Amino acid sequence: MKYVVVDTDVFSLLFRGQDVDLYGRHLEDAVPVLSFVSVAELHYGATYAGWGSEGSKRLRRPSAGT
Amino acid sequence: MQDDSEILLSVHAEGPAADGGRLPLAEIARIAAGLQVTLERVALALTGTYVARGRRPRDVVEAVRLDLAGFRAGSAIIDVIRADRPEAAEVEGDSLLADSLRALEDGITAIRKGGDLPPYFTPQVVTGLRELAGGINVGNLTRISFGRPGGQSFVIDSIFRDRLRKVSTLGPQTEATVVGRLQMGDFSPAALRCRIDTFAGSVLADFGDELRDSVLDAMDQMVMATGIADMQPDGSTVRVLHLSALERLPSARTLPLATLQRQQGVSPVSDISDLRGHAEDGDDFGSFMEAITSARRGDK
Repeated sequence: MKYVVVDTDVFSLLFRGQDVDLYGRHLEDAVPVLSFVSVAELHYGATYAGWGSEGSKRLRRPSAGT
Repeated sequence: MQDDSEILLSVHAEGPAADGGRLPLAEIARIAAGLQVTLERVALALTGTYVARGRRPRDVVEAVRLDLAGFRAGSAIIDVIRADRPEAAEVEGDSLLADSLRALEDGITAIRKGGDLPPYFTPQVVTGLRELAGGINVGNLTRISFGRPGGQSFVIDSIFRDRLRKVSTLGPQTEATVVGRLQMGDFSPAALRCRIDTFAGSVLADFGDELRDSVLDAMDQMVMATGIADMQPDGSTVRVLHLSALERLPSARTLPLATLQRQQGVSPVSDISDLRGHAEDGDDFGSFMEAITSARRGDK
């Protein structure tokens, strides 16, 4: 199995649907992996942006976690 | 011809081996090597440079490098001068050489009088002096005196050798606790030692047979090790920790990625758009990205 560690910035861009062509080819057929630091940063960003608990749930859905 | 004003030390050897104004080459070599090595070690201690193994700092070694300038027949006197070195190193080097010679003189005199070891007489310096005094016996050399123009002489003889033997090379000791990851165990009965890697560096530790299994079980784990530490002369660096207790510390349990993947139900990406979030009206991606970026830069 191929695992690819996804950096916080890259995950944020893919979450927005931005630069998909640039990063997508590295992730095809691979299991994306986020470090716990990235998970914390993403939740911090969601909280700061006022997404509320629903926003945090949406963040959780596409991520692979650690 | 050597200018007498350049002579730093006149080494005078006495004893049966020096009779007739002769001196065995082996004794000259031992005295020369012992003096040079000991002087270097004193200089290293004075400059606070503690070197366990490996290359010695070149500037310190160069500062105290001596040359043999001549041998005066008839009384077995070896004249020693300062070695040539680059001009840039002259002033600081001269000071270190003079300080080291004075420290060596004071320390040898103190040992000879049965006094305490000076703080800069590290175990390495004592070992060097033991090598230097190793040739002192009634059938070989009975006395080696080192005369400094304008300074006192210091003497290595049987009195010094006997007092040096009684000197403990143990540095200051203190009870210490070290927290770090336990690495590199040597479990052969003659060794029984390990290394604990801390944030500040590695600490060498030894232990008794009663701790052998505890050390083995804790290998590659975070531990809190307690014991008596032999300290470096600086008083803050542990040279060796003699373990009396070892406790494993709870730390994060690591799982293989395959296990995490199974537990979290993550599949390989077949469509990159699966990673896309579902934006809702009012979602502020600008603030989201700004917060993440600032968090990573440590602005928040």
